[in-house]
Amino acid sequence: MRLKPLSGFVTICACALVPAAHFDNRARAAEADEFRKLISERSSALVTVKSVLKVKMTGFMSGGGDQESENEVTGVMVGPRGLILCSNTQLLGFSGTLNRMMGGMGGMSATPTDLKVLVGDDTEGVEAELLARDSELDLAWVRIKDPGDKTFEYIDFSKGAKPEIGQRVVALRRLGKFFARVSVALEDRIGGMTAKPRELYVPTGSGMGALGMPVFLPDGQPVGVLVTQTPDEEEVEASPMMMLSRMSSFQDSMAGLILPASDVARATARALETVGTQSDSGEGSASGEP
Amino acid sequence: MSSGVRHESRLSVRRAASAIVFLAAAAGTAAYAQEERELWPANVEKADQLRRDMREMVALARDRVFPALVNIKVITVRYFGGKEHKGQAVGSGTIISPEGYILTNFHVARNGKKFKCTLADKQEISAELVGEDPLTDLAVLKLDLAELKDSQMRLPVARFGDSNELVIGDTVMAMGSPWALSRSVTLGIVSNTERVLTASEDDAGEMYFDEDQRTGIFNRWIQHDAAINPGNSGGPLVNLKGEFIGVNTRGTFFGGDMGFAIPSNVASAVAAALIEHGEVPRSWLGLDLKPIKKSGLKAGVLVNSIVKDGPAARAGLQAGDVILEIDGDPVTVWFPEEVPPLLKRLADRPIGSAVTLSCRRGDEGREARIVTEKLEKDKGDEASFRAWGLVAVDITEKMARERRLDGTKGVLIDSIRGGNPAQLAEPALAGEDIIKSIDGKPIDNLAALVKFYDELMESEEFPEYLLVEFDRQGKNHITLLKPKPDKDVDPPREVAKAWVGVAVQPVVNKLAVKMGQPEALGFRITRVYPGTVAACTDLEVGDIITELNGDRMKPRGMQDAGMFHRQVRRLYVDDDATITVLRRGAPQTVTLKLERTKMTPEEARRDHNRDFEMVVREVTFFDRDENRWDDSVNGVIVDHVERAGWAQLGGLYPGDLVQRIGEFEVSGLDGYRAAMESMTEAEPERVVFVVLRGIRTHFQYVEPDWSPATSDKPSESNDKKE
Repeated sequence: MRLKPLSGFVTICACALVPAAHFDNRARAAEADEFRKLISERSSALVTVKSVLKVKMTGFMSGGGDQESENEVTGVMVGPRGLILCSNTQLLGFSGTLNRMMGGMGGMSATPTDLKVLVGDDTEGVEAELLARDSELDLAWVRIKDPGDKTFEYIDFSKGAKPEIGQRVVALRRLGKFFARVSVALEDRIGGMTAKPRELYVPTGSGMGALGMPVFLPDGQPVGVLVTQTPDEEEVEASPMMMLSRMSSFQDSMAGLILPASDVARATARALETVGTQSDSGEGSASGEP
Repeated sequence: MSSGVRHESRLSVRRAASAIVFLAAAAGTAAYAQEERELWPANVEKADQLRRDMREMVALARDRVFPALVNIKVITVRYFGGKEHKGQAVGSGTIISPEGYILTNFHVARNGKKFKCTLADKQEISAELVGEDPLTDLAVLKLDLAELKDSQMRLPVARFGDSNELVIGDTVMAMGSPWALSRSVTLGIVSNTERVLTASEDDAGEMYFDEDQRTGIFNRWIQHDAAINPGNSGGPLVNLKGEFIGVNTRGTFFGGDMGFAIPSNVASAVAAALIEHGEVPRSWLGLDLKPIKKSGLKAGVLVNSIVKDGPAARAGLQAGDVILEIDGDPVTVWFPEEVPPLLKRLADRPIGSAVTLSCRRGDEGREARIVTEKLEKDKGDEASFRAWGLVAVDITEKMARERRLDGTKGVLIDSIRGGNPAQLAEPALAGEDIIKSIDGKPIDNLAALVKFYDELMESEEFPEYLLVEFDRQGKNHITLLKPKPDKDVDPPREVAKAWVGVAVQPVVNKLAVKMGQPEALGFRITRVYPGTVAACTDLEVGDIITELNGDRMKPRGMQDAGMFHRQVRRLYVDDDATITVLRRGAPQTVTLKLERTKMTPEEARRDHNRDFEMVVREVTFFDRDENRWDDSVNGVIVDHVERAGWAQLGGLYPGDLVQRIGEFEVSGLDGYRAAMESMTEAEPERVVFVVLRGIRTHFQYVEPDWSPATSDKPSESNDKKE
């Protein structure tokens, strides 16, 4: 007597769960499809920018003479003729961040030389040049010197999307040469937005990885680029002697923050204006923005 | 009043008591002296006489050698980390002949590229290296007598004494330039005449300058306590006869004034050989010796090891043999102190002569006739190949033996520099690799590598890759090295943005209240930059910016200090902007056209001059503002001078504004380049730089080395340029 109602309850629950589980599986499969599609369609715009950093230590860190080191960062093609966007911080070997932390007591100046861009499976690279940089926005533009007749897959940040808080986003990057520079996607959610010092999307996890990665909505629309934002010297509330206090001022700044696509497009247009190459590079239309 | 009197009275009593005590002490001393004089009249007289004699002898000895003492400044080029490194060193030396030969230490002259000697009369004269002998740590320089102010001047010369006459307790003087302080004399006594500096646990141990270079093999040291310090190296140790009886070479920081000098009998022979041959020819037998003190043997000297295929090995000698006689003379070496004289005796034999050794092997006696060979250098010449980022060394027989190589063919890589072709090659080249060939051309020695490099760097076109064959730990590898020109790159440019030519500070809530203008939250103008659009408006220092294009500017604290300029940078260059300011409490509106951001010093174009070893950069807007330079002040700013480079030696400093070079006015980077090109063509002995440093002009005299940067001789081609 007492088992019957229970059996009936279990049966009803099971019936209810079957379609829910079926639905979840289908949703997960659809998500996976979307993910795969995003990687396959967008990762061809990812490149590796190799350079030799000429580093000169300054202040109390000087004395060891100039140094040189090889540097490799992920960049994203933003124009059909070989215009590439990457993280200024990474391209300059984090020298700007170090200098800001040292507050003038010491630091380093770094100049990237012998730039090469590795597209697809290429391991040799083609010669490139550093066109301009925007250290405020943490962006740097590199251009392939002689693209010949080639056109490249690129991301058009002028056609970006504005995500909502809580929305899923996907960042793309290339691993290092040990992993054959394979493209990988990293998923996260928008955890917040800032208005100061500018509009930025804040991912929920700080582990989205390397700076300079393009970030997309799952459907492939560009959201922006991961950057770092550091306060100006007068905005840091600790003297250069107070290293620990200064470091806490940079705590939020060092996590990857997403610079909106519209800002990326606008900055790219400005960069091209600065070097006066908009008309002959064919990059202006690709970057959108007046 | 009364207390004051009492106080005065107490003081008087104290003074009186003190005077009594002092008088008593003085009387006591006088009484003691008189007593001494009465009791020991002869001794006191003797002491007085000795003091007078000593003073005279010291003065005499000093005056016989001191004029021949020189201070030596050395510009060095050392090789490590895949590149050459310049530096400065200071040591001492002694003039030993009227022709201007100076005896000093090898470690003073080592890696010397340029020598300047300051004589007793303060003349600074150039010198060149005649020869060096690392095994005794001695070197000879020669003064350029043409530089003497008086061409008829007779140089003061020190006379060698017989160091074998020295005994422990003899008074000696050390002369030199301790810590680069010129011309010092210290006095001491000889503490030991046959000091050896082998390790206590191995009495067959050897001293090394570095991995490949031995020293101190053929001499014992005169240990003394006349204070010597860094800078004394190479200076004379002098006896009371005013004779040069040793070359001060080593000291100890924590050993209580222990100095070590190379005996003059060794030094004079080495100096003579260096002057005659440029080297010290020595015989080599290919064996190591060990004292018998722990061996249980009663006589002889132990053969500690034998060099494979060396003269001793070919004569049938084996490690473990005990040498009892050399050319019929019995020999026994009980202690380490007896090893250097024996090694010297063997090395002093004519090269190619025969030495007969009577030996015992076990219970058997045997004779070995060894034909000596020339003792070759321990370490080979070095050169840096800047565009490849590597330092390479010639391989000597000794280096080959120590590394168990088949021979001396090839060039040993000393070190490589990160980020350069040698390190970027796949697989990368590394220290201790031995380059055997490049693009199929054998690289048998350093000269071959220098020749290959020079031809390549002078060629019109670089090959894309060089195929480099090298040995690493007995394995034969190949790699591709991609040569590249050594070029400089200007710093990357910042994206141009909108800018207003004012400096501001945030006015936060408490500050605004204190100013009596609680509504005056904003940014107070602290400077209106002259020559800007802002300077053409009526903006003035003290104005508080409250709005930009209608947007309220309200800083909440110092964390918002950059808000105003950040907002401006979001606008566009050449657009009009409306700025609302509070001036003495009243709002004002200013409309102005936005300018481009100004170039910062970090972005300024630079020029790296490798002859003068300096980097200069353009003057920027902010340099002018910071230094209050108006448009009439022009030039280029010294950004960097290389350590011990000609610019640094000429007294140029980072931050100097170069305004004139020779007869050329320098108005900017292009003018600077033109002036420097003219100097390079003219190759003057001295280039005058007129610089502005602070508020004063300075005339700096730079004397660059115009000698060719490359040469066929590896030893002279150590600073490769292209």
